[in-house]
Amino acid sequence: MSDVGTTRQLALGTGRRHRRILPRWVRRLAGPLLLIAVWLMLTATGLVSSRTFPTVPDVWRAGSALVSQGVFLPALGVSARRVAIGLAIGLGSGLVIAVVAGMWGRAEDVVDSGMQVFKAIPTFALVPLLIVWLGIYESPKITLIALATAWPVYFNTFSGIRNIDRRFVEAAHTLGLGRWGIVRHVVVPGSMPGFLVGLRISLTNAWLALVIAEEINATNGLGMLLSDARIAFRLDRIVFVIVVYAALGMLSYALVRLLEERVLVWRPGFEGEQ
Amino acid sequence: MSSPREPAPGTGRGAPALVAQGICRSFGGREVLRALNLTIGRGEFVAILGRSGCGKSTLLRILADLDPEAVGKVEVPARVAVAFQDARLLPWKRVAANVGLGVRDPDVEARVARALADVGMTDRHRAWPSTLSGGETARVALARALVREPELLLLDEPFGSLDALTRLRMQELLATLCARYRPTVLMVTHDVDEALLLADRVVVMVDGVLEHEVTMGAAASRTRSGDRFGVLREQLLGMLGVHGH
Repeated sequence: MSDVGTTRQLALGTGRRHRRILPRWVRRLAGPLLLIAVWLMLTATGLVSSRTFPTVPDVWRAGSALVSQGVFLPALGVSARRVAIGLAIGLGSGLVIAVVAGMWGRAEDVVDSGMQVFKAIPTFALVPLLIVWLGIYESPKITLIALATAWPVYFNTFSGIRNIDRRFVEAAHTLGLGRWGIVRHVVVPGSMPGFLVGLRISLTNAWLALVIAEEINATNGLGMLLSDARIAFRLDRIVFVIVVYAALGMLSYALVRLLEERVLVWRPGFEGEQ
Repeated sequence: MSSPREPAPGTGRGAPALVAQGICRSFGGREVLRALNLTIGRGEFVAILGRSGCGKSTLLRILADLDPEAVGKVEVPARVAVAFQDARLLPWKRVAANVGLGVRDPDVEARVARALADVGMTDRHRAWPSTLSGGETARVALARALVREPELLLLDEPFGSLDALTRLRMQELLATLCARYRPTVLMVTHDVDEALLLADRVVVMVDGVLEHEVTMGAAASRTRSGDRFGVLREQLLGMLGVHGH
């Protein structure tokens, strides 16, 4: 008597494993919503006192008040500008240094070991130095963000370039491409997966660096809202600003994912396609 | 299978398409090529046979200008195209973009379309390389080489990784396209049948030099059923050190 094999019903007609009813981003929203639900439950039931942690409606009211008083949006604008400028400088320089180190063998040893030193220094330990050199206004803040975002892009792009299959470079050479053509058609697209990993880390670092940077002379920006709320002992406002930081972080993460889906369509089995 | 075509003479019809003289190459003290000489006439199809590791791919890389450390003299035409065994399509470019890459011509698109039609891949021009089958990949690699209208076509075991049936179909396609465009071809292979079916001249490489040479006669001998085919096959296998077939 032989064993009977299992019978599987294959999906018919659709051509995909199974149809997804909800788009992926909707499914991904479930996590944050669940967290808010837990927060609602813990504070509404009195399990956590509102002196320890404000309730959801409290935070909502604090936020709307800040918006209607015309305090929130200007602060957000100032902070977003700092992140945008710092990120542009950090990404740009990280990328340029990575291409230089990745393309010229002789530059690699010097540049890469130099960048390793940078990585070993905790960026935020540079704050006192930046204040002495650059003062307490915009430049130390933007510099800090640029420093914190340059190295993740550098390291991941550099290793992306190094991991490009040499055979593709050879093929490009036989197709008559020169150095610039190889950079454009092989090195840039080939290192894109690495660059995007770096970009993700850099964006996270950018918001982190913003919080630290805005502790320097907090006269405007989200950091000011936070320190004012602390001085006034307004937990609802503190939590509101934290929620704003979280939303900004998630928004930038979503942007990178969107970019990855666009740029990396060629990758087989790329998870973003599902 | 082969289309009728006159055997091109090795030399004599004008200047040769390829001249390699005294090519030497060693890797870490091991001599792979030892003062190798090779001349190929214009429009001639030469196949280099050899066991794996005999240096035939090394020679092809030198001729393709991929080996800066080789010694010797190489004369090749201006337009050289290469097709590798592992195709080497850039995974981040669609099929048509891969084929057209590096072609300097305002009318690239029309040329790419023609090349893809030649290899029967017109309807896959927007596909990503990772979605192609082995045979399709080989076709695109061939199109990418032919679109350059090469004066010299270098083929490094172009069908080596294909299954037997697909390989036969690709050999047929290559024969047809060579009859149509008549490029000078140098193909490296370890498949004796493939060399006999496609080449005008078969050269056997042993220990870094070209030792034996078999010039194919009329087109009739290039069919598997031809009388000479079996004889030549036996002869070449003997030169490669395989007996009793």
